[in-house]
Amino acid sequence: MAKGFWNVLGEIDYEGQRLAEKLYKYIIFISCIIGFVISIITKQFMYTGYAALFSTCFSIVLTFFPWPWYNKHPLQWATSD
Amino acid sequence: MGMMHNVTARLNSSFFFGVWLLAALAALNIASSFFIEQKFDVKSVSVTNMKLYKNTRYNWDEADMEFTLNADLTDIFNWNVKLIYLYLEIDYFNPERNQVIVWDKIIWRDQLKQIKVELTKNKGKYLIKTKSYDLIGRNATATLKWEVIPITGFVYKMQSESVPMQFLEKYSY
Repeated sequence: MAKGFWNVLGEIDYEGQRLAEKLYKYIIFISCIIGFVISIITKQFMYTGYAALFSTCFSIVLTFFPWPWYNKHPLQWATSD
Repeated sequence: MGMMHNVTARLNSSFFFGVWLLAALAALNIASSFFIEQKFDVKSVSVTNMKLYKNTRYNWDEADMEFTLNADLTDIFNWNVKLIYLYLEIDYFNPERNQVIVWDKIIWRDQLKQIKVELTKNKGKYLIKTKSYDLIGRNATATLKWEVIPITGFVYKMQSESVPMQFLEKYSY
């Protein structure tokens, strides 16, 4: 397997990929909706922008690095014989 | 390891999911501003103290004015208004049409309460200058106009009713 520049960080397994995709979608979506509701109440649209910005940054930190909870289901390879 | 969800794909998809969601909510913000009624309560606009000067050095007329403006700005600010550009426009014929802004003000949404007090009596910011001695006794109209600059969406222009006025019959000095 070719080791590229980005693979220096390490890899995550298939269950970890599924978990990472769920995590960033739920975090960004829920915090944007909360920010939108807050900006409807306070009549400041800036809160939606802040919510999108910070939740995106947070979920990038959460999904970019191969945290240990993404590597709990390692692949079981068959033996060669 | 599949290429589908390696580290750059995760970075890309989480970043663009956030950007896409922000764009969708901004589109909702634009859509909501069509349903919010915009009221701008202009009670009166009147030019009170006008001065007319004859500029013999440059051979033109100059007019300076004070005006009272009684308006309530509180209802124009909904959640999609960033600032309004408010200006008083004098429209006159001598004999071709001229439109001159004599006073303007940029009002940000957090300046609301002090503006409400300040608007009652104003001195014109800019002089009206013509090309020759042709301003005496001209009929004119004063119109309060404003442009709304929203946070998302298009800039639009609104105006109150025009008030008739007249330049002075003789020079003030």
